[in-house]
Amino acid sequence: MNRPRQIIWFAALLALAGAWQTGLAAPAKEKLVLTDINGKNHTPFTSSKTKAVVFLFLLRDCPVSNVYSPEITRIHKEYSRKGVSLYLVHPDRDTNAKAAKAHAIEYKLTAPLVLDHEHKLTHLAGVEVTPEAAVFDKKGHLVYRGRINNLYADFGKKRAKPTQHDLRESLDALLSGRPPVMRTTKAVGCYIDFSNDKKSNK
Amino acid sequence: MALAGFAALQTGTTAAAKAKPTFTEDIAPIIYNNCTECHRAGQAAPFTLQTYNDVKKRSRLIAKVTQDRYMPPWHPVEGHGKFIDERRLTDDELATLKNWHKTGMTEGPADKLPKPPKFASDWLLGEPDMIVRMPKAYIMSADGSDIYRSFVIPLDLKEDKWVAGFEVRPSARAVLHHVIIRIDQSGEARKADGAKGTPGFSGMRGIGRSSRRGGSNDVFSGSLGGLGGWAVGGTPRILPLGLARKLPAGADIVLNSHFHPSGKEEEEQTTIGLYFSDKKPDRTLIGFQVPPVFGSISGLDIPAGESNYELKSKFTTPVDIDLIGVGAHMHYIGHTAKAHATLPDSTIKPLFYIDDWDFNWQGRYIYDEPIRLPAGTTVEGTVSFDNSAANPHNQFNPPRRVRWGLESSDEMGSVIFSAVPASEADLDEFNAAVRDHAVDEARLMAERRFGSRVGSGRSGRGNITDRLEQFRNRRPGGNTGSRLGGDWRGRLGERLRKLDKNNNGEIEPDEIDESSRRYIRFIDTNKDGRVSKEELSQISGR
Repeated sequence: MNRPRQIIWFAALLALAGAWQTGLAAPAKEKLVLTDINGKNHTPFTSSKTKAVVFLFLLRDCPVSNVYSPEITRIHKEYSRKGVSLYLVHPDRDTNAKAAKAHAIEYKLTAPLVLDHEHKLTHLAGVEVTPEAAVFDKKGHLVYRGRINNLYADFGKKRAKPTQHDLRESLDALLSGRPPVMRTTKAVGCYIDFSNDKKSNK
Repeated sequence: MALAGFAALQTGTTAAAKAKPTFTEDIAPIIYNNCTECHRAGQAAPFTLQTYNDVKKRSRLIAKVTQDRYMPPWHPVEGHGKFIDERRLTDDELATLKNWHKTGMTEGPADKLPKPPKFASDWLLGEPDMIVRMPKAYIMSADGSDIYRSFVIPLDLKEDKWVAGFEVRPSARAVLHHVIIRIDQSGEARKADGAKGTPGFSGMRGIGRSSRRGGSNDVFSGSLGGLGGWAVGGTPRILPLGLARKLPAGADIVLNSHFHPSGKEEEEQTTIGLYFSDKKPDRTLIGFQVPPVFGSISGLDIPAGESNYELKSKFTTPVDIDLIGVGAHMHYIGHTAKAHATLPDSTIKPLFYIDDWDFNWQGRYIYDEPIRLPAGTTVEGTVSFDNSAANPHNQFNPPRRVRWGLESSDEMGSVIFSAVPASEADLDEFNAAVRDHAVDEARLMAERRFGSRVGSGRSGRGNITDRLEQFRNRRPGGNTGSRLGGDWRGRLGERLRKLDKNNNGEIEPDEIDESSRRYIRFIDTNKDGRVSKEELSQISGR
């Protein structure tokens, strides 16, 4: 009985998916203001020096997320020199500023820390997993979402070393000035808990 | 009709799984019984699973990793042996966890919540008879490859002890993944430990073994020459049937430890609690492997790109035996390990099956009841390897030819059993059969390789020279110039003479160096750890 309606929904979804595949999503708000855990405000998309913005979503007690800490800090150091702004985002409601700070000290994380308990950034980037990266160009177009690299093929399937460095490659492509193509990969890690979100969010 | 059948099938598989489960009634019992032991404060698991909120927050992850059977960690496939401490969820339990996530994680009536499990805060088997600890902590770096390293715990025991059980307590639970406890009687490991400044020594080598027959550290022993192993999530156990493994006076414990980097620097200083049995056990634990000796004499040679390379071997027991436990050993590209027994009346008994080998889990499993195999039973073991590029565990990209060897980039492969003769009087015969199995395997491979029959009939004690030559030819990486024929006997004689440093015509244990140990065991036919004049004459005087 409601089959026609289902088909319409399905077609709409397909069209949407197609749009994401071929073009770029609507740009993130230019006026986006991030407040880090020290109370400092950042407006990543307004600086003329910024060439790319990266949100990296983390979870304090996710072992896969923690294993990436040294690589995250290496990427932060290498790419902030080249005009990339990297923010570490905690979507976990049980992570307050104090806990996020202690975790960053423990794992030697250097990038600014942002709490996203309302999941605004999480939904803006469309991530579901930690650790997962979202890369925006300077105009706020999402150009990459997914794993940092392919160190993990699946849960418990860890390679000796990664063979594809997806986040680095996306940033290199963006910095080289090539026209951006939206790309996604599947991130392996811990799922973000959306169960306390308002219905409208998820 | 077909539809009805389909519907029946659907409901049939999830009959016991509720469509809308609640935490207190359905989920808590599963979590408490299977997860909380490790997922609590101070244990190896990364987060706690004790309260409704703990579990609710991770319901999607829990549904996914249980469905994948990544958690709880339990690798043997159902229907191939029944083991103690099995931690395997039923299909119904999996469906319940999945349905709970899908239907919004209802908490349920508070009065239905079972009592949270209580865990011994101290030693799980009670106060140990002896507690030993790594003398110095090893610092595991934050990043990079997994580390395999060996650490010596000097014991200086004045008398032999019989170890019935042990508990391993890591100090850095997030990074120490597994430990195999070996025994070194040579003092070599003690010398190697810390020789390069950092505690321990790299890899798993440098372990001296005594070849005393029937000892738990016999080279043919399936216990990997030691007391056994532990991996994350493992429960300490006392061996069944009053069995125990020998810890000889003067021996050192060597921990073969495997570390994962966790993202931050961690310090590991492992503590071991040992439980002794009062007396020498009435029955002697013997190890046997199919294929024997970790696959070293079975011609293991895996072409690059080969996704299903199999190695098979059979062992027939001449006496009644009881199987106590089983495990497998392979390296990174190992894929499956399987074993079954064919009884004299042709009944087939599945014994063990790992269908998706993971190098990280070198588990040893104890049968919930010892399995009696009557004399004449054949145990067949098959190990397979996936050397294709599609295997994420493949260390090489593109894949390379892989042969047998000690490095983790080489391969090994065997199913390892521990067993006791049903009657202790049969011990020698059982032991001899285990040794002959290795010798026959070497002969078989030599025949296959050189296309000619070497020696004749079943190998006996007199054919040591043949066995030895075959084994020398199978040595990985070495002896490329050594072929059957030529003056190998002369060369070997010369080599043996050099070992005899005090020139008394015999080779004592302290004269056997590490590189000779591999073949000395084929000359030392009575397995007393020395090569007598008589044993030497069998080589030269043939």
